[in-house]
Amino acid sequence: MAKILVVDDESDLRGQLKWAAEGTGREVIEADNGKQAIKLIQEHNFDLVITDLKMETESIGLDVLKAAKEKDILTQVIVITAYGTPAISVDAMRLGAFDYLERSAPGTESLEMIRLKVPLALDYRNAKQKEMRMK
Amino acid sequence: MKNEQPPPDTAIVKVVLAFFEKALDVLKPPLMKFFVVLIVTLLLAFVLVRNNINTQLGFVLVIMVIVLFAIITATLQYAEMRLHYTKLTEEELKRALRDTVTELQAEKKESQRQHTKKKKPRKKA
Repeated sequence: MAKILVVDDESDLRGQLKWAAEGTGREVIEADNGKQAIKLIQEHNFDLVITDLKMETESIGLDVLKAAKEKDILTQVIVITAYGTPAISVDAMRLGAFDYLERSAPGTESLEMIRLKVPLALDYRNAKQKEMRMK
Repeated sequence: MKNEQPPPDTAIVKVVLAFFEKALDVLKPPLMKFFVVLIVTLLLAFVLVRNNINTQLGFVLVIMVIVLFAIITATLQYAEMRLHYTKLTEEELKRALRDTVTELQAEKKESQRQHTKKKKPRKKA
């Protein structure tokens, strides 16, 4: 069963992310800060990580992304932020993020977007895994 | 005897709110807004002409409003199309970047693996 890690320091927002991820019927594990997330990534194998960008530091989300990619390049990471800039967005994509989403408001629109992206990210991971096995 | 009040009937409020929510959703596209303005203007013109207030002024007003809102609607529609196109382009670029980065990371891992293999000292026979 696919494992998803949800990282956010705000419990309400983490709950929303968890809800969005659980809707796809996958096992979801939570972390409330970047350090804990990195530790969990080192201990477990995740298919997908959904992380906030700004937690204990300005861009700890990128460290979570790096840790996930170092552990397994096929782990997909979705970075979410409320304070997005094009530069950070490009940085995240360059580091191998599956997507970079801006949480403009705690409304349902961005949440629906995340819910849409989760199965896409998992499908992408499976496709890449198959491709690499073929090679 | 207790003076018990019945609970407020929230169901009706919910239905009304849902109706307005749906109505706003329907009115989201610029073209729909244009149609609403068109209908209101035509009704207004009908009243003006029927009551003989000023038939000519009524027609001029109607034409002006229609032209003005047609221009606004066209501009909004164009902006929406541009935004949609930009989003599609962004998605395509993201996809391309994602593929490239994944391939590069895979190659890097492979070369690191081979490098560590080479570094291992050979066992003596």
